[in-house]
Amino acid sequence: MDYLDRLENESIYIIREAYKQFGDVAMLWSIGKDSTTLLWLIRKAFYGKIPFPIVHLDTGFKFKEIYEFRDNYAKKWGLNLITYQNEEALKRGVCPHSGKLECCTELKTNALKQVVEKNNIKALYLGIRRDEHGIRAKERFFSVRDSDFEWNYKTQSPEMWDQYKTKAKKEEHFRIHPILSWTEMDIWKYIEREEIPMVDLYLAKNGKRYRSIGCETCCNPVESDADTVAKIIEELATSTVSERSGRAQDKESDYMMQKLRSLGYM
Amino acid sequence: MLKRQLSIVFVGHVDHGKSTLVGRLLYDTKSISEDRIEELRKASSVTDNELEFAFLLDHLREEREQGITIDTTQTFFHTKNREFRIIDAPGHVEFVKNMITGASQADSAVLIVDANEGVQQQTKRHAYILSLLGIKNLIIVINKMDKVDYSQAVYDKVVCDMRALIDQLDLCSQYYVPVSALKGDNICTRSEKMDWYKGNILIEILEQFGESEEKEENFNVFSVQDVYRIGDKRISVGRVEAGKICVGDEITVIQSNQTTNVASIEVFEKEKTEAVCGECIGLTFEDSIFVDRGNVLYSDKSILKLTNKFNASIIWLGEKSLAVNETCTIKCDVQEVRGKIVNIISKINTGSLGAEEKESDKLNYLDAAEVEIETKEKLAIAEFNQLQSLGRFVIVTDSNINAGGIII
Repeated sequence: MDYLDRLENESIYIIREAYKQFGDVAMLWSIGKDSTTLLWLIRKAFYGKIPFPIVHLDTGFKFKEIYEFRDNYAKKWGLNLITYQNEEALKRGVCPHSGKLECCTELKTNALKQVVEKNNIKALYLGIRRDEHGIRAKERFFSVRDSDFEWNYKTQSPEMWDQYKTKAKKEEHFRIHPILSWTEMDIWKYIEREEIPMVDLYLAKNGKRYRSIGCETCCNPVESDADTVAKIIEELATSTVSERSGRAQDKESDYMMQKLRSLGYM
Repeated sequence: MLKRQLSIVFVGHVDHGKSTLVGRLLYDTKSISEDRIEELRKASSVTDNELEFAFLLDHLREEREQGITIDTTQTFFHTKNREFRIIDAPGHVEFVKNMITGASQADSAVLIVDANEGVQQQTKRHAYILSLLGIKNLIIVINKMDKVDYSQAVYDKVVCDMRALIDQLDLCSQYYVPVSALKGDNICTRSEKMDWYKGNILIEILEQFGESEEKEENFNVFSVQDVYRIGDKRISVGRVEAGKICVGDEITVIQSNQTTNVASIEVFEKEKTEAVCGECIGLTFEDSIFVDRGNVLYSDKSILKLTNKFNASIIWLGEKSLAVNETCTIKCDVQEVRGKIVNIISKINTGSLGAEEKESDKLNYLDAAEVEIETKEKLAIAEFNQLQSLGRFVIVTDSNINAGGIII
């Protein structure tokens, strides 16, 4: 087995383990490269017949390419897709211009709380990676959130030898992170090897491309001529700019990401 | 050709300079992005220090203020010869469980010792835990050489003490290197201040460090994680834990003693006739036998035992003690049973590595002990030295993993 095979097998093991332990699970799909890779792995784990819903939190501010990609592949892969919006907040006029922290909190975090509650989800698969952001490096593969969705990283169980914490109080839920050990480079190498379809926002057009995608209002492209996956891999090998540098959440203030996460953000 | 990615855990006594060393490695290999260095500069000016490398890893605000690492942090970097995944493990006495989380995912370890302070309580404890986790190959870094005027005599003394510790724990190390993480001596550049040191500098050692050998096993083991019904097939999914599984192999379920042959190996949209250790696959069988989660399948000579009594070395991580004969849950691979410790044979003080004279009818926080365990249902196990995945287990009490152990 080569290095990517090892990562793939580790992820599939975690995916199957969480489904066996919790049953009432769902996957959060942002349509970005990481969660689309996770979806690819989940399809492998269940032989193309995913036995649980795939959730897309729709802020209403996503790129149009994201919506097209979502609808196209939801059909192609036969997904049980749940799209969800925090309608109450949208009606109140919450939007990026009214304040970014509030916007992320309402349209993502609170939307997530609502969808978890409504669908009685006990565990949620997420495509976060340790190398993305310092705070994410503290994560476990199986990570408990309390009823307020808070993450008490200090009291986390140790995780060793493929053994995870699997019991929680009734009001708590789990976040499952099957691709936690992957790097941005691993993701792109795997996308290249497996020929995983991706939103083309990642590929350079007119000297710019997106390295990380989310809402159109809060993402900036980076300078790049990488218009194929192979060129992205080449570019990453020499890049000295961090992946999320185009994301407003990380720029706004030193601790915005920490605040968002402690409030239950992914 | 690029060597396989090396995943390394950094351990050692509190304040011996783990985070600083990792930060220095990242900085000197130009693995830190420009915007992160800018963040670092800002943070450093706040506390009026030189570039504080440790800040890179100790990312949370409160850690910056306290100056200690709370949890496991993983970072990735590469040189032109190799990719690395580094796991920075905390040295503070309360955070051993996080160190175990980090170290259990590593295939090599760097143990850091302060040249001035020498071998301390946690140096011993961490070395002991590494031996318990089966990480046998170490790199010993003698740090803060700048604080002892780069003295060879001081270095030799610490190396001598470390060798004794390594021998006592049946670990091995051929790599000892004197460094200053703060000043950058012998990390990625050879130090002019220690011309008496002729060995490789740290980055050279890491680039060449032996890959954990994949053993050729003469026994084949498959562990069943779940059973899926896909179309008209009943697929037993799980992982090859040792050797390999081929279509046509005769296999036996150790729990039921039923024997059949492998009809097919199932992976999504691929044909497969052989799967090796570590692969997560599905199996179908020629005869209709009953297979369920926790079943362990083997072919050829077996090193497995089906038993409800075994001896183990364990380390207790729970804040609440565990008493002899108190019921708990034992998880070994995907098997889960109720059980209890029926006898504490001996206790070891992990800080001094001496025998413990204290009470021996319960396990307290950070106690290490050799124990006898009995379980309600039988477990399919192996000795840790023969098969790691079925030779190690955790103990769960109050919904938390509170101990790790290896079967002896």
